[in-house]
Amino acid sequence: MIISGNLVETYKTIEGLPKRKYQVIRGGRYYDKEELESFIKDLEGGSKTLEGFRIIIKEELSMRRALIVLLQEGYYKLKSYDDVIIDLIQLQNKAKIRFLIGNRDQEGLTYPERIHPKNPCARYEYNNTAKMHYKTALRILVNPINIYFIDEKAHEHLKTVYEDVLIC
Amino acid sequence: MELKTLDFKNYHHVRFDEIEKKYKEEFNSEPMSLSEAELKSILALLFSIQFHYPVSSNDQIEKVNDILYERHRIINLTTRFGRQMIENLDDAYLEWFNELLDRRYHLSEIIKDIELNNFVHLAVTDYMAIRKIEFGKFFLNEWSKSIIDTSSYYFDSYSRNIKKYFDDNPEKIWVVAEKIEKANPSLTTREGLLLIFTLKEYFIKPNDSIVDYAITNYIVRDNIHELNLKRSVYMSTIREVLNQKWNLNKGKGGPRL
Repeated sequence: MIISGNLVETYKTIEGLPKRKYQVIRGGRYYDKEELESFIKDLEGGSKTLEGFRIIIKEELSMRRALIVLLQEGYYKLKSYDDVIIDLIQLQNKAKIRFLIGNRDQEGLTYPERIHPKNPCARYEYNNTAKMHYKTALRILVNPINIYFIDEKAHEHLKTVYEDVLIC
Repeated sequence: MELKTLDFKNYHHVRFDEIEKKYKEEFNSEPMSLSEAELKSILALLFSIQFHYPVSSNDQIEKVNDILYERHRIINLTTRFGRQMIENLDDAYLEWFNELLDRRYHLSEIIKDIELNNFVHLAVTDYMAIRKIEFGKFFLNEWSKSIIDTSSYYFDSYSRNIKKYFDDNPEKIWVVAEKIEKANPSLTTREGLLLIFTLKEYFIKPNDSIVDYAITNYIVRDNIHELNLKRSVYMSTIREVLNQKWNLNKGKGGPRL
């Protein structure tokens, strides 16, 4: 139920979420990546306010990609997963809190090396289909903008991984 | 990598019940090859299902069927948008799509097919994080055709008054909020916002209301079923808003309510 005057205030609050006027789409044809990234950050900044209006600002992300983000942020500095204990269930729960995760596409997400291998070029040397799937999974995570990573360094590192996989 | 906006294309959509009918004999038994148009149509439906109901559960069967059997024009809008994303896939995803096209499918299980769902998630649904602005704009434009009743004898004159009002007072869009509240105090905040965005897009066409478009995306994503059910309520609210006095006292304190 709207309390009198509330909708006007809510509307004004929402219009005030972007910190400045953004030109996200240029010439009606291309996204301006920096502008889009800043706009999305402003929107996320207002997520608590929006939650109050029961509008949920959470991005949909497949579990595969969400786990890649979390494995990357948690373990990108390591050369191998052998020396750490990773609880995938816990990681999946974390993913569900951070992203909007569906449950229609989850298969083969059984261990870290299979989800986000440490040496993808070697792992997929004889399996082009798996390599293609891995490449496409990395795609939106590194390009065109950073929507998903909190740890900027982990994101930068993933870009180099992606570039390697593109040419191997 | 440049990221282009969607290039809206013409396409041939095949309804799921037509596919069911065509392959009636094999529906529950033999795996079938699908034509490109059939597979793309199914992928667009899968997108819509994933977008509105990311977590599948048994109590949603009827709602999912509303999407699958295209029972409501409003709900179909998401499928139409998804199809445009499929028509705009880049080479990396097209390679995968072509592999999917070579496969055979058990039609009775195709909505649950893990590989198809995986493809749709990675190639289409996940991109809504970016495409939300385009979707919001597309939705508002199409949905306004369903809830703004232009058939009234006075519509043109109301429309002229409102356009003139906002030409003279571009900073006073919030007045719409006031009028919506007056017309129907029982709407939720989300509904009220969506109606403001709808009227703004229809009468003012600001073209740069990216925050409206993005918020529309989230509201529609999570409430499509209710939005469709209450269509006639929104329609009469808007009729009432248009009927209210939009006087043109040239910025001297705005309209009297």
